[in-house]
Order: sequence, then structure tokens, then C-alpha cells
Amino acid sequence: MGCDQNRRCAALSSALSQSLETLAFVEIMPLGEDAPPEAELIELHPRNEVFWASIPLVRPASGGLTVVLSRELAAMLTDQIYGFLEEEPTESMLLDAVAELANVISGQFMNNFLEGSSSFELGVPFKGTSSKDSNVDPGGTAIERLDYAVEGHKLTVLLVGDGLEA
Amino acid sequence: MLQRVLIVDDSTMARMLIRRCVEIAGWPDVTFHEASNGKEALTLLGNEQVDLVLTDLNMPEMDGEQLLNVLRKDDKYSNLPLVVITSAGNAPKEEQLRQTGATAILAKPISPAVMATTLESIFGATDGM
Repeated sequence: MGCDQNRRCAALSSALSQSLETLAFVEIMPLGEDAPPEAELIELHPRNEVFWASIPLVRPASGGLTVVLSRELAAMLTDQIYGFLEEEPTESMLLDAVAELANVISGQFMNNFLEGSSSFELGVPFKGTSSKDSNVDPGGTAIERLDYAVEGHKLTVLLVGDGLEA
Repeated sequence: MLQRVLIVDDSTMARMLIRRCVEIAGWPDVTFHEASNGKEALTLLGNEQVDLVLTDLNMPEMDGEQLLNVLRKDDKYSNLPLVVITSAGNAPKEEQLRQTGATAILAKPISPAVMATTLESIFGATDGM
């Protein structure tokens, strides 16, 4: 799942690794390349329930960036990022943490994609849970979909929108 | 002297993280107030005195930029230090925010080290670190 000459894909992939490495100190691997194939990963850690968060891209492009991951991965990343929490995070806190992660990834992506040349605006996140991946609506047809392995779990990022020509 | 901080962010987890950053940055004993948007922040500022506002940009009801504009037009708050913490920051946006009156702009994800440098530049060094 290499990005080859696709500038948009490279900006997204880089945003994802920058955000996760800085925030949660975890490395990510593209599925099917360095990481095990998706089927193996899902067998290991089934995604019976997924958490998702979408960040609207308002300006200069319009669209959205959605992060989808399992409850287990959400809990693991939350523990990594908010290790100082004294109590077990509730579902609402996990969703909030996923939304904040999506927010940081979106900001990094827009910065990478625009190469810092112009300001941009993101919208307020929306988030939820779903029984399976296919029920998550990213708000349109995905123009980019990246699947990664994070600590043995699958993490998906979907990008929809206009004005994001690769 | 930094004693009371108002954190404005619609994300509960982001507020926790910012709070923790301030503590680790050398101010473990400050009193924190929290608001989830600019409107709530203004209500809170009417009732509480604070030394610093740390605000996100993208929030429902009233965003961080609107909050900044309102505060800078009010004599009572025109000199109140206000730091924007955002994932939507880059050079052109930062310049725009500075011109509107932001004291500093920090990019998410924030680190205690960057928070420490920023707060020291506003309030001077602390013995707490």
C-alpha cells in the first residue's frame, strides 16, 4: 500500500505516523507491506466493535477525515497518551480521545498537504461506535483509504472531499 | 505570577492533557478552570479572575478566534495572556492570530517542554520544575 507519486496519500500517511509517534509513542506499519496481511491481523484482534471519529475539513478543501479503530486499540492508545489517568476511561472518554487523535491527524495532514503555504480550517469533530467497519459513514466516497497495523491492531483512515487533488 | 488558568477546549481529554502539561511544565499548584467553548469561557471569566487563558480554536458555539476577538476588544481583558493551542496552525494562521492579539500559539500535540518555554516567556521562570 505504498503512496508512490500520490502527494495526498503521502501527506496522509506521514500525518498518521507523525501523530501516533508523537502522541502515543507507537509505530505504524502499512498493512500488507511490513505488517501481517489484514486477514491475519483481524483473526488476531477481531474488530467486533469499532470506534470512529470524523473531522470536517472546511477550508480551503471541503471534506472529512475519519479514523476507525477497535475498542481495544482505542483503549491502548488512550492509555499511552493519557497514562496519568487514575481511573479506567469510560466509553465517552475513549471516544473523546479518538476524536482528539483524529483532530491532530487532520491538522498534520492539512499542513503536510498544503506544505504550510496557506491557513486552513477544520470543523468540530463528530464520533461514534459501530458494530463493523462497513457501517461507518465517512460522509462520501473515500478518495483515500489507508489501513495500518498499530501494535497488532488494525487502524483505518478514510479521506473524502473536494479540493484535495493528489 | 501564574496562579489561575482557564482551559477552553470542547474535548474533555484535551483539557486533561493540557492541564497535565501545565503541571509538568513547572506549575503543579495552579488552580484550573475549564470551559468547553468560548461562550462558556466568557461566562466563567465574568465570575472568576484568571491569569492565563489556554484555548483551542475549533469549538462549537463560539470558537477560539471569536473568543480572542471578544477579549481583545474588552479593556478588562485586553492584556490577559491568551495562548492558542491548535491542530490547525501553520505560519499564515499563526501570523493572523498574533495580529488579533494571541500571546502565543502552540501546535497540537503539545509537549510539557514547549508549554514550559511558553509559560516562562510570559510569567518568568518557576522554581517548581
